[in-house]
Amino acid sequence: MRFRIGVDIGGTFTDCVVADEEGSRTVSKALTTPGSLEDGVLDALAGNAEQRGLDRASLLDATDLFVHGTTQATNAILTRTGARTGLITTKGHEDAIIIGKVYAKVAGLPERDLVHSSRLQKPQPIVPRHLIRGVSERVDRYGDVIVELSEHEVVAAVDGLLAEGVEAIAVSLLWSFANEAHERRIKALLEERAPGVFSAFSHEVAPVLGEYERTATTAITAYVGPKVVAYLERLEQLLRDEGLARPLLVMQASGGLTTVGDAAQRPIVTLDSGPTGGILGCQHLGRLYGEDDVICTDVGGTSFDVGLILDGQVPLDSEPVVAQYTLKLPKVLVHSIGSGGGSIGWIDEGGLLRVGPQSAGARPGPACYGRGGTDATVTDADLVLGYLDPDSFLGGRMKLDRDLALAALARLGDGLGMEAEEVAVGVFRIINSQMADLIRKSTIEQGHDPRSCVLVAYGGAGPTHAVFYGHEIGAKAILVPRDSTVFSAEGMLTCDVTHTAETSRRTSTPFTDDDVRAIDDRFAELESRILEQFDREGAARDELSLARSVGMRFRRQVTTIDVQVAPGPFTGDAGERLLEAFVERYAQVHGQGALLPGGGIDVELYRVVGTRPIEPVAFPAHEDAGDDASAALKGERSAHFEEIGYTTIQVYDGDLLRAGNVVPGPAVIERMGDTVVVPPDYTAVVDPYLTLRLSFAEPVALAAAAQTEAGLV
Amino acid sequence: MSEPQSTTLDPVTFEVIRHRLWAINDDQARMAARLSGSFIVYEGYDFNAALVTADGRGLYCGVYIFHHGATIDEFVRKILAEWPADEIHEGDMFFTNDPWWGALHANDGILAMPIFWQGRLVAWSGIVMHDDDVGSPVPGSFVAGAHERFGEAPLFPAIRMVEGFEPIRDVERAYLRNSRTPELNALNMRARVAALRTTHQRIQEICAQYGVDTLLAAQEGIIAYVERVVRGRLRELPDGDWYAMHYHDHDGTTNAMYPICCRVIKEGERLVVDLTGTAPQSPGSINCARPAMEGAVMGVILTFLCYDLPWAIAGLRNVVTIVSEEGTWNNAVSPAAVSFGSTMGTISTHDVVAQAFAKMMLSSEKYREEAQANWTPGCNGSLLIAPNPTEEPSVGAVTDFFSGGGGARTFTDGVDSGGIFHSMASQIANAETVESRVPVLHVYRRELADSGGPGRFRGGVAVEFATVPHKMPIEPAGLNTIGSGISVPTGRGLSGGHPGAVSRNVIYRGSNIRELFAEGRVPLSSGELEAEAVDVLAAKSFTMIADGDVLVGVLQGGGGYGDPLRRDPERVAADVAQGLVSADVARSVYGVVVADGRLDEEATSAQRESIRRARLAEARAPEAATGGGTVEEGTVLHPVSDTVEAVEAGGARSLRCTVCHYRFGAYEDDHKRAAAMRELPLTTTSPQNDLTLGEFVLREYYCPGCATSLAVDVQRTDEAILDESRLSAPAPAAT
Repeated sequence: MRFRIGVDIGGTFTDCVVADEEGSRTVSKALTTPGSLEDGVLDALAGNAEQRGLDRASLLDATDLFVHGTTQATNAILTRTGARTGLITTKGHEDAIIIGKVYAKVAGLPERDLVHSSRLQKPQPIVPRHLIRGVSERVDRYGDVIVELSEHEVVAAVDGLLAEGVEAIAVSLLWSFANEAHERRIKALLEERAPGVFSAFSHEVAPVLGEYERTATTAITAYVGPKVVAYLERLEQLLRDEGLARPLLVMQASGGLTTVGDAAQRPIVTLDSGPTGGILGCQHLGRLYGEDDVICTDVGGTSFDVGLILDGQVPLDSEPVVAQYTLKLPKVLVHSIGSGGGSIGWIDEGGLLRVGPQSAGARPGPACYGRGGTDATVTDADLVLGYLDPDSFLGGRMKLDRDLALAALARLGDGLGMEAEEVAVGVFRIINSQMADLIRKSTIEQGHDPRSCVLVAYGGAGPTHAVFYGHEIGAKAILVPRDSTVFSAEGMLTCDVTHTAETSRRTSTPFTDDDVRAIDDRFAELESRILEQFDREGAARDELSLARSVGMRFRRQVTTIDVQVAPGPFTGDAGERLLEAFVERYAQVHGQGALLPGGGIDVELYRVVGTRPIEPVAFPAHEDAGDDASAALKGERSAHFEEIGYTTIQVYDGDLLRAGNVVPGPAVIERMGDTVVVPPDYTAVVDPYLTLRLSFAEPVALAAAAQTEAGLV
Repeated sequence: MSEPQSTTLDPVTFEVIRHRLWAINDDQARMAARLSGSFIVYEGYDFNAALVTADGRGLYCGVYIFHHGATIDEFVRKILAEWPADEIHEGDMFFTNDPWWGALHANDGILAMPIFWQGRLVAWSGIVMHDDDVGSPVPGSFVAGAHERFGEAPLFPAIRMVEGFEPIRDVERAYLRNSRTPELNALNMRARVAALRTTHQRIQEICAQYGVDTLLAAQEGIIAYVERVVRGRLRELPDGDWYAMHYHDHDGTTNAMYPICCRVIKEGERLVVDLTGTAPQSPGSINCARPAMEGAVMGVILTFLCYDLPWAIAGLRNVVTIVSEEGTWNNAVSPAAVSFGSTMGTISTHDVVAQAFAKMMLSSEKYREEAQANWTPGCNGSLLIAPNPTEEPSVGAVTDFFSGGGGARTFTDGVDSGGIFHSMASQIANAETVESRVPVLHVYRRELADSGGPGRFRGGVAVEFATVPHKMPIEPAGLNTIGSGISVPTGRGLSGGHPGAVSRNVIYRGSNIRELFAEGRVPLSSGELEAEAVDVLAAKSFTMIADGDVLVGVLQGGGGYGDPLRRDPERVAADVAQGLVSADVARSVYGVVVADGRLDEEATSAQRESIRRARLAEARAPEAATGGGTVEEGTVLHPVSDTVEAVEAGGARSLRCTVCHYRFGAYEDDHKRAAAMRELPLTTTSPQNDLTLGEFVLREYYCPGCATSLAVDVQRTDEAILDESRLSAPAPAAT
């Protein structure tokens, strides 16, 4: 038996899914181990191997694909716990990253907050002013050196930063993408004087025009670099030592996979890789179900992430904003807030109950974990309200202590004059409405109607809350995938390996023969860079596909549109065909009236994306076993629902449910790693892929619809 | 969340359409900017868009330059009045660049489109953006020296520019023929057309999905919702009058001073913005016409009262009355010269209205956090017009029009290099982007110490830059300076905070910059340059610039809030450490002594005490004799400013100092007239003010009891004291 493994590190748990050749899955979770993340990964792998009666080494030995994602970079930025970072830049432009084009005060804000001028602030600096050093040097727009690099200033800057105890140094000079010489010289000097210090260079990280975004991208790369790179290299070595013969592949923010060696050059590509995995998994589910519009919701221990699939496509953000810094990095669009199972309830200055964004994380974790946590969290509320069973959390591998949860909630209630149960109801409602608000921001406020979308809920706490926030936004159906707690890891197994090579060069009409030859050379050079990268990874040439495109615009415009370029030699009338393709594409996007006949046209950017396709992990369909779910019924307990209070609910063993089974609410479905709550007005139907569909509608009709979609009727 | 007015509209549908229209409007603005070839549009965000109801009421004003968006409804009403309904067809678009038709000035062309569904007019949409040159004797079309509009660029009233979603060739040709940048303007026209066409489709999609009646009901619901919330907010503010008066320097011909006045009158749910007292229209080109002035007033109200609401101007027009005398410089009549109107009359209007409005917001405990001192007031920028042997001349902003400081808030400092008040979404271009478009090299760009107005909370500092022409195809180039606030600050601080430092543009002619470069040196201030001559540019000027001439410029900083002596000394010390405040200003204005990078608490206490003593010793006695004694007991009714509050004690309402409880007078009195006043030179605030006109001084007003500074004005020494605020006694309670 050969295996594929996906591992995703979240704030609280490290998730692992192992799929064999038949598509059969085993899933496991381990607590995330901050500081030495690889321990959590190894724990999760061991747990999974055990389920298959293997040891970790023999599992790894039989593994063809190992895909990994981590929120490490994102967490480091959001919590400002990255490396102490210095910045070396062109003298006279030290403030560029602080000024933030003036725009940093509103970067990443929705319009509603953007106009609230009295509340605007710039981000807390990633690199404080006293760690920014300007060095005399200057290159102009043609790449000509106007001021020679002052090496002694570089040396003084490096020594000064080292004396300040920096752990990483970012280097971003004006026009470095047009002439790399000065940054390369600084790189050489850094290697001499600061060999152990992580460094990042703007001509490597983001070789594109725009010193603010390029500098921010480089600074953040340096800021997260030491942690991310050291960890990935450590993990790959450990896995190799245990028998993994294939390279460790890392999930990129753009939605493709890459190698550790490549990610170590630009560790920023690992940004938000966990959430990206989940969204790509949703895209795969959407294809399976014929759903083009999907709201992807992931409730982890510390954060709530929302992504979208629109018309079957994953929207990309070409200038994503992270912590109010605008970056040059293509990234799958994700909206996040600090709401999760570990979110802590607290009382604000006005005496109101609030929840999050502070989180108890994995350690000490919610009070009910019994690890010394005393703050009341969302998980404590879920337990007290009867949604979670103290004895079957994480498949019974972790006992929850209801008394500790009650005590924590009661302590919070003391400040509010409320009983513990009342506080639990309040915490539960607040967290659900925060989640619904974020979904509104990502859909309604962008003009998308959530009622035409299906909502997919995953992540440890997602299924417990999904119906509540899904109901509030009116999603047309709520889907909880079978292995919801490891869905992001599973989603990573549906991705391809991609490498992108780009170069910024301007070619203006009219194209000369030399221009056409230069274009041909440029594509050849980009393609050879990608092929070399794939060669290093041991990929076979015949499985690769290369897609060429250019960014074109009418002269003087700032934004380009992408035009696909056919493979093969770029010769003869290829230049004319390119212009025709641009005009056609432009008219298609912006209308015939938008064309400027006779206007000059520029090619600005050349790009080649190389893809090594990976057969997505199979989702086998199961035969209908009828609507009777009684075989999975394992008991009753009391749970709280708004308006009716505590009531008796049916408890089902989700792992015994079969395709076609119908579970009417009120009920909970306990599965290996999660608990799906089915409120009184709702019904859950198990579909052929063992996905739970929760809906207000008639269960029989729903079941029939699911059967039809799966092609089983 | 709101409920729609119409019973036929369910709340979820209302929310979806409300947000979708919001998104459509934002998208059309951004799309037009993306397709524009104009630097000032796509980098400076000098554009906006609006959705308007079928009958010409403002439904959504975009979040970019607010007075651009806030005039589009006016233009649509004029089209509807001018064109018979049966001559307005699907696919038509109407253009104007005429300030009396709704444009701010000739460069800011508006293209407006009727939106039809099955033959029925259901809405309008409009996009305005800045075209680089639209004719006139001066490249760039800002005509310093023009005395009337006939010496400026040609104006087009509402003309049909587009039919069937495509530009009409002959009409467009007539517009382009006058321009030095026809290809660029043609590209901008197509950017507007493309964005409007997309909007047409998206509105039709709403009609198809939800029905046209639902769309129309949602429009009414949005306007009614905004009006309802604004009326509610006004009811919560006390009744009264709040005043502001600023000076605008240089009219394009001479460095004459133009007063601009605002009195905000609030009674119940009604607002009157009265601009009476503003100077007569100018013989120079700083004037703006009534639509631009109204756009500026509406923009301020949107910012202060609609910070969390859709920007539905129609909801405001039912609540607000604007009083302005025809023939004043922000309500000029033809043939006034108006080519600087977008940046002068319009911006100075919103600065003075914002100042009066902020004073009103201070008088409510609930809304005082919305009050802000002036963000970088006025305007300062330069356009470089470089001839090009083979193509159109390169016309581009070489300076950062938007890199001034944010106004201080009542609870925190203004945003350093925070940008402009009239568009929170605005941005400055990367230096690399500037250099890729205009033949210059940016030598430095840095936040300038002492440019932010001192206060308990400091105004944001501004950016200083130095730039030199670089590899120009033909030397020299023209440099058109579009500035105000050079000779006198055009904004103010609030509640005793100082105005931000003034802006400036100085050319170091024939400097040694190239020698410095050759020696491997990059200067960080003008002090490191040697020059054959130093030209201090007038606020509006046109000059030539060649390689070796270094232009050094800075914008105005944000105004401060509250008495600088009340600022936390640790914050002052941190500002000194960051290079945002000099040690000299820390000592002389803030009374904070920083020695060897450390706060000297003892010396600070002594210094602050000494400043307080000097204030009262050197001050003129209060003008009005309403004050005296203290009010120790009583119930606080509401705040009035940072350190003045209204109290009721023993059945009498009065105003008192929150620090020492000094009584300024009765509730209806103006506390400023009961304050002691001292005049100081403008250089007190910042050494950057050294080029201001000596006849203007800072007037600081102090509490006679404790010397806390209550207000700071900028006036000539011989002028009467300005009104600050007057509350109206509440109507007797109904029995």
